[in-house]
This record gives sequence, C-alpha cells and structure tokens, in this order.
Amino acid sequence: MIAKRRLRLGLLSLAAAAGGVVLIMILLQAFSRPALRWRVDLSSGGTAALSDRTAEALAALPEGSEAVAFLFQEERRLEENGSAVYATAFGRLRTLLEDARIRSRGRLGVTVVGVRSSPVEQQAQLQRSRRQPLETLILTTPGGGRRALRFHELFVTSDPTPEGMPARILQERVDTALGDAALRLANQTAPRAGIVGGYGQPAESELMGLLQLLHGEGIDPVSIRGPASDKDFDLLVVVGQQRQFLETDAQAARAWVNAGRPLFLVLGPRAPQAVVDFWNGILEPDHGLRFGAGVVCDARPQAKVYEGTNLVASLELTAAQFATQHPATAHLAESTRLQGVIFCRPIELAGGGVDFARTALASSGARAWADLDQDFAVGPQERRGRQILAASAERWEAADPALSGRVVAYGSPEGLIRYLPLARDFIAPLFRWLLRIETPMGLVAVESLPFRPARAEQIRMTNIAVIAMPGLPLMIALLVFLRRRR
Amino acid sequence: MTAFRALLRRELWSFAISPFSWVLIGFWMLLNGLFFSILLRSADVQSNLGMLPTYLFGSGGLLAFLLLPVIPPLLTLRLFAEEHRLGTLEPLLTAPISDAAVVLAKYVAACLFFLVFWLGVLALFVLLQFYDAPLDWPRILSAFSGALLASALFLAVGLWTSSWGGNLILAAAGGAGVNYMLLFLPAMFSGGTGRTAAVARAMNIPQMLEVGFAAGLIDSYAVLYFPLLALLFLYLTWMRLVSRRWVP
Repeated sequence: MIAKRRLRLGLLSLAAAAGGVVLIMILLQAFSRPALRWRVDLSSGGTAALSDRTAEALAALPEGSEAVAFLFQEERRLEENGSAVYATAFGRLRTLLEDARIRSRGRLGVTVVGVRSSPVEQQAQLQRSRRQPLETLILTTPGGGRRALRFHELFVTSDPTPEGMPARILQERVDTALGDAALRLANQTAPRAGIVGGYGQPAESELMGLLQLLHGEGIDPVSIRGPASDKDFDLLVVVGQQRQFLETDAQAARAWVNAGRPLFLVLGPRAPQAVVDFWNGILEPDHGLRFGAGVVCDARPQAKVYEGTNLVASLELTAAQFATQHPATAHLAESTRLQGVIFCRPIELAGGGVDFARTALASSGARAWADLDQDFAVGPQERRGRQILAASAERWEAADPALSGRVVAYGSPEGLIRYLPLARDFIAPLFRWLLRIETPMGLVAVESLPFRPARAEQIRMTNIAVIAMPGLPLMIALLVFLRRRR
Repeated sequence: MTAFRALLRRELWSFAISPFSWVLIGFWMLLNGLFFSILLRSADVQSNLGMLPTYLFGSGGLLAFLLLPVIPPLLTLRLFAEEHRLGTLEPLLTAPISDAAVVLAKYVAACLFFLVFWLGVLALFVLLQFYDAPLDWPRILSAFSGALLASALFLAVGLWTSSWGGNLILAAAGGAGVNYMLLFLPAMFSGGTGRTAAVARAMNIPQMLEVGFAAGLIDSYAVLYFPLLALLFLYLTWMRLVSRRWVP
C-alpha cells in the first residue's frame, strides 16, 4: 500500500517537474519571437545594432532569404604586425548579423561559416552560394536574387606600415551595405547607370574598377553607345569623351540635361576643346558649371614633390578640401582618410541660373595652379589659388525629384580608371547622390582603442592580477581556516 | 519573511567563514588574472582594447567555457548536499519555514556571495583604468550583466544538483556537467537549418554572451532566458525537496 502510494507520488513529482520544463520552454519559445523582442544598444556610439532603415529593409525581404557570412582571413596584409582587423571585423559581423536575423522578423536566415566550421559545411555553403574569392557576405532570396559583398565593401582599412604598424579598420559600412543589398533584393530592381562608350571613351576593361564600384553601390551599369541609346537607364555617365557626339546623341544629351535628369560628366585635360565647349554650352547657362583649361598642379616640398616634375599633377586631398555641407562629401570632410586625384582638369563655377545651387565638392590646396603649358611649373599666365576639382549642381526646387537637374562635373578620367582606389570613398557617394539614394555613405568610424603599455607597466599589471589579487582571498582563506581550527 | 532573512543571513555567514569559499575565489581570480594578462599581451587586444570584453566574456574565453560552468556548482554543493550528508537537512525542512523559502534563501545567498567573484574580475578592469587604458565602460558593464545572468543560471543548476543527495562529488560534477550541456549542446546543433537548429539557436548561451552582451547589445530575450531557466532549476530543486517527503 505504502509502496504503491510512493510510486504514485513519485510519478506525480516527475510529472510536475516535466510540466515545469514544458511551461518554461513554451515561455522561452514565445519570448524568442522577433516581434516580442527589444534590444538596447549600450556600446559607445550606439553602433552595435543595425539602423532602423536596414532593419526595415531586411524585414521586407521575401520569406526564406538567407545571409551567409564567410569569415575567412584571405588578405595577408590585414594580418601582418599582429593586426586585429579580422578579429574586430568578424566580431562586428557576427553581432550585426545576429541583429539582422532577429530584426528581419524571421525572414532572413543567417549562417556563419568560419575556419572552425566543419569542412563538409564549408564546402556545402561555398557551392550553394557560388562564392568567389574575397566575398565575405552573400545574401540570397528564394527567387534567385543574389548580392555579394566583399570585405572591402564592408570595412575600410589602412595598410600595415614598414615601421611595424599593423593594418587598422578605419571605418565600416556593414549597416548600409546590408541595407542596400536587402532593398535591392526586396525590390528586384536597381537604378541603372548608362555608361557612354562610343566616342573614344576608355574601353570597358579599363573601367572594370568603376563597374565593380557601381555594382557594390547597388547600381547596375549599362553600356550605351551614346545618350540617344534606346536602352533604359537612370543616370548618364560620360567618362573621358574624346570625340564630338553625332547630332542625334548631341541632341539627346542636351535634352537629357535640360529635362533635369542626372549626369556624371568627367572630362580630363586631354579632352578635345570641341567636346569641352559642347558640354560647357549645355552646363554653363543653367547649372553654372564649366570645365576650365589646363591641369591642376600642386607642389608639396615636404613630400619631395617639386615644381617642374609631373608629380605635381597628383594631388592629395585632406578632409579640409571637401565640401562640408554636401551630402556626398560631408563624411569625407569629417574623415581622416586621404583621397588622391590624378591629372585633373579644373572646374569653374560660372554664371548659371538662380534656381540652381552649385557646390565645389573637392578643391585643391591654396597654392595650386592650373598648368596651361604642361611644364608643371607656375608660368606667367598661371596664377596660384584654390582650384575646383569636382563640382555639383542641382535645382533648389523641383516638382519631380527625379528631374532635379543633378549634375556632377569632375576633371579626372584617370581617377576613374587606373587610380580609382585612391578616391573610391569620394567617387562612390557621388553616384548615390546623383541617383537620390539619399542615405549617407554609411561610413561609421570604428572606435579603435589601442593600448600598448610599457614592459615595466605590463609586468606590474601581471604581478597585481596574478599574485596580489588572488593572494588576498587566499590569505583570508588561511586566516579563516586558522581561526576555525582554534 | 523573518525566517527567510534569518536563513539568508545564516547562509551568507557560512559562505564568509568557509575557507573553501575563499580558496575558490582565490582560484577564480588567479585563473582570470592569468587569462587577463595573457590577453593584454596579445597583439589583437593591444591594437584594440575594445576586443577585451569579447575575448573575456564571449565564446572561446576561459571565463565562459572553463570557469563559469564549474565554479558555481563548487560553491553551491554544500548548500543541500552537505546538509544532507551531515544530517542537518531534516531539522531545516521541519523548521517553521516553507521549502520554497529555504530554496530561495540558499539561492539568493549564493548569488550575493558570487558577486564577490565578479568584483574580482571588475577589479582587473579598474586596474586597467588606473593605467590610463581607454575602456569602453558601457560595453564592459553590458558584458558583466550577461556574465552575472549566466552565473545566476549556473548557480541555480548547482543548487539543483546539490539537492540530489549527500554525495558532494555527484553534486559538483553533476552541476558542471549540466552547465556544460547547457553551453555546448545548443551550440552544437545551431549551425544547420530547420526547427531543431532554430530551437538550438534560441538556447545558444555562448552566442548570447558574445554577440549580445559582450558587444554592448542587450536583448530582451537573453535577459529573460537566464532568469526563466534559473527559475526552472529552482522549481526542480523545490520539487526535489518536496518529493523527499514522499520518496526519500
């Protein structure tokens, strides 16, 4: 009788315990639902979580979308001299992807593949996502949409120095890149840039860097023979035009600009005068932009760049040389990253209608000059002074935002061909501004907290942490023990 | 309430006058101090001190993977197992105090005393601050709050295993074993896709510590996860005490 009662009560307590387990599991399952979760970002600068814009873009993705992060250390330079670039970057990526998973409201599955993942898992993910070298984050949708983001599209890093300084993360743009990729995948459309290629412009192979940059910014480049092309595009891009347009293309270009559609025009010092005059004729009356003459040069004796050598045509731009008020350059005006501009024709702000706002986006130093005779030294006809390297114009007010007359004039085709890496952070936001991808560049300064104590300090800290601090409780233990024995 | 307070005071006092507790703290601080010193010499941390909370409190760290699952059961093993072994549990359970109050008083005492362990780790950061190291304090405090919540859970597990019987080794090893299971089992299954992986991800403690608390991001789910699970183990402990009357 007693044994039976004990068994019954034993089973009852087991059932009650199981009930408790089930109840807690149900509660946890309910609280894990993204809709019921809130997150507080305590990190300094509030950069541990994704922005609301990116979270909304992720929540708009089709159900079953996936983000696969490949955390592989592929660039040796980012590991040299004990660099923490990969450790910091991968930590940030893990945090932001977990945030993305939660805030996408279950629409985005996140998989992280690292060197510690099993080889089978690595191989399966590599094949499934068709990963190319250097691709760090790949977003896919069930409909076949795919966006791949390379490491340098997510993080801006410095290089290690021969003096032994390691590479550092200067800035990151994971949030914006993820948001853009999600928007693009959700809409299944991307703005298209029509790149004119029929008038002596650089070949497509030479523009590969620019095409990759556009892809990275979520813009589809479209090759067109001229502005009169019947292909559909949202932005007209003319880089290094060497011959005059045929009449149909000339008319189309004029009509395009007069309609207020966006134009990115890059004419260098080698552009024929007739081409320069044609575009000045279109841009000067209303937009108030014109291409000047010569090559912008600036000597930098402290860097051993002296007048008389063609090195003066390669310019180094610091934060102070960018427009602080313009959305495309404001981030650079606050950054410490130098930009490089090579062999640039000066731009002038001249004339123009009162309904257009004009901005000198980037300028040279105050001792620069526009070299007219190609001797790379200041001549009698050449006056020193700040030269404009790139300028923009847009209407103050426009009924249709897409027709607000946004134009960027830039004087260095070389800067978009061979030397694009020197000015990448300057060029990319210009395209975004022209296409009204209004969010800022999304560069977030990554706070690096270097701490290199002297050897003596390090030894003192170790002694305190390993001997003094543990010694105190051990002493208390001994005292307590002796006292209790007594 | 008076009985609860009296029992809480008694438990706290017995922690304070136990040489074993202080030896545990010394051992804890020695290993943490060693790990801390090694981390401070690594190039990663010297390049960016912001990595320190991630390495110390995140997955892969000595603290989360070696010390945190083991030390709490060692501290709690005496709470029920020793009382059982010495035969003082029966008088306690027949005293005019509810079983729930007994469980709660012992648990709260263990949690409060464990704060001393964490004060030792906090002292390491204060030491760094003393040497003018640039510290991201909000992030460090966020990492600490995660570690505190995790230790509250592991203490509850330790309390439960301590209630299994009078065998101290079983109480300590069982507690550490359950804690390791809580740590590693979900992490093992959270890689794939499907329902199992989703549940495992929702229970992945190293993930919560590393990409949540140690990164400065406090998630409501993680904040609820640890106390709810701790509550479950306290409930199981209470059930064990109650059922002792039926099934000794």
